[in-house]
Amino acid sequence: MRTSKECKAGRKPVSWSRKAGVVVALLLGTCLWSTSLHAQGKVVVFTFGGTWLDYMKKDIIEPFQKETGIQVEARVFQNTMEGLAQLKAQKSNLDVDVWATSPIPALLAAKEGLSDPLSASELSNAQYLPASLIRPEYVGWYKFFFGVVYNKAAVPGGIHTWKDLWSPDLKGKLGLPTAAYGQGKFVVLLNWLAGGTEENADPGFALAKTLTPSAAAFFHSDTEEAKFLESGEIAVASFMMVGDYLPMAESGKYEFVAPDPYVPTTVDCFALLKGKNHANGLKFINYALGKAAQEAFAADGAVLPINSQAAAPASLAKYAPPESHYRYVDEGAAADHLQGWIERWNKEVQVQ
Amino acid sequence: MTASLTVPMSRVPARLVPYLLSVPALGLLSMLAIALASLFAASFRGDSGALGLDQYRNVIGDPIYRGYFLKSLKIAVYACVGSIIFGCPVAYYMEFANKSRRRLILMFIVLLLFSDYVMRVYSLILIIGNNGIINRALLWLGLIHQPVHFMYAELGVVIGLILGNGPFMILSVSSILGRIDPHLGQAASLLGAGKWAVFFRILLPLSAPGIVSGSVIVLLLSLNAYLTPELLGGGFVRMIANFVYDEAISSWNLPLASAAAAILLVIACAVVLAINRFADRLGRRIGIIPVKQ
Repeated sequence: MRTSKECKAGRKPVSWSRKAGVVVALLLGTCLWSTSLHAQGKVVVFTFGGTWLDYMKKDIIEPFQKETGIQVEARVFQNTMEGLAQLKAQKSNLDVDVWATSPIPALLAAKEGLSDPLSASELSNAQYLPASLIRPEYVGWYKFFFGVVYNKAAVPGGIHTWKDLWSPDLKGKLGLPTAAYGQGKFVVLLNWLAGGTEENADPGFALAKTLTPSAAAFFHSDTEEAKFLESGEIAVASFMMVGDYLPMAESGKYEFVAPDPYVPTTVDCFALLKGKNHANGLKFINYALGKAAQEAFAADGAVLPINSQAAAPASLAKYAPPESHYRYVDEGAAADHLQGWIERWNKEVQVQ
Repeated sequence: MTASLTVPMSRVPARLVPYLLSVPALGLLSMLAIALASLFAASFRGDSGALGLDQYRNVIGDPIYRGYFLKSLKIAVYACVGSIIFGCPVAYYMEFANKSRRRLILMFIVLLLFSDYVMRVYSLILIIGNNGIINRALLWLGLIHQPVHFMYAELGVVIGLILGNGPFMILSVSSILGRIDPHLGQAASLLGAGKWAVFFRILLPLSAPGIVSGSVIVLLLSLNAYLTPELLGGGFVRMIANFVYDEAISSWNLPLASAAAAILLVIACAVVLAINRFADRLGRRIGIIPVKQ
């Protein structure tokens, strides 16, 4: 009879490649199992970073998690066009469910097949929203407008109209946006001022070239614009949302103005992406459109709620222009021309 | 009783060990090869989707795009020269300083290299920005009435690249200096050579390989720079990497971005070859490389 040692010696040993295969299979199985487990009570939200994320966590994400038990994984992007590029790169294996973005990137994402169509019937709070802000590609989240923020000491005369940006006193003091910033809203504004439309931006580009000598720097994002202003690299942030200004307002050094004759107005929105948690994504969007979330976020972000039941924040009363001054961008036309504007801006305007 | 020869299967055969050890490197090389292959494949896709050289024609034929390449080369050369001017004296000082001082300088350089690159570049804003220390001092002294625009111009980018990549030059030169026989300098002095003669005729030629390899590193890093022009260029200084990023991300024009990246790769290879050839010839001329028979 053979001893156990002889048995072990005689037994054909398992090759190391087979052992490795078993380990890999176990690891894969564990990953898949844990992924499926987490997918049951989870939603992945791709959103703006910085203070916007802080407000979103406080006013929407944490209350949503508490109320529904669904875990929210927040991921951030630098700006919406970069966010779109990241999503396009993940297209074959998209794991983002909700994208907090702007209408133009949402329209572009839908063209790329990244999003699922939305309908009012799936969102109980849609009844309180303007019908024009519920589209298959996106649903509006809040409304906001752009203005100018300047350092009061560096611009003693102040700024009252957009044309003041061309003042010789502001030469070398302006922070101007890149064309990609705000999905070309500044290009649209210059175009309006020059008498053009979203379909024909030639007048706007001709006007933009006359502004370049006044530029001290070009910024890509809200945080970069604020950083330039607060560090003194620019004296005028020529295109800023009032929500980005409010944290600076306390210092008393800066002034926000919604210049005449009008301010570009738009919405930020939610797109429902082809992630793995479709139902939870809809719940999250619906929650964010509810009265409580809208009022809380609007108060913190100094934006205007779009839910008719929600009250506009008192903090905005001082800065918001009359209703007649809001001018809305043709988002669809801008989406069609944006990439051409970006190329043209880089070649013709953003040069030294 | 028969003797059984049992080969323990748990031990990997010795002849397989070198191959196993190269598996991680092969993995990295494969990933690089796949990335390069997909880059080149994308670069041959025209606007209509047909294969061809359209994108290369678009890049080379457009004066603005050509300008980005020339600007990148110019800035990279300035950064390289600046790194030599500022880095070599530090390397020489390190070599001839006492042990504790050498260690301190080396520690500082290593800390600099291991510190966050973005933080290093941003710290420059505090020094050379419109509101930075230098401008404030000059304004306070009454030497200027408006801040000098170091930042958001090519000068700021070059300074940022020297700060970011200069440590590689210092380390490269000091590693060669450490291998030079100190008796050579002593022998030259004994034979009547002054300090400057020892430096220019012995130390400098012998440290040339370090300067060359440091130059290659700084040139390549500077040519491919993205963050420094992005942070310190203020949107005015667009180097090739910024152009590639904008085309790939903002405009989603991957074929054009790939063509530009491919051209940059070719230029970088040409620069390295040219420098190596020059260094070879120089080395033979000054006698540190044996002449081919």
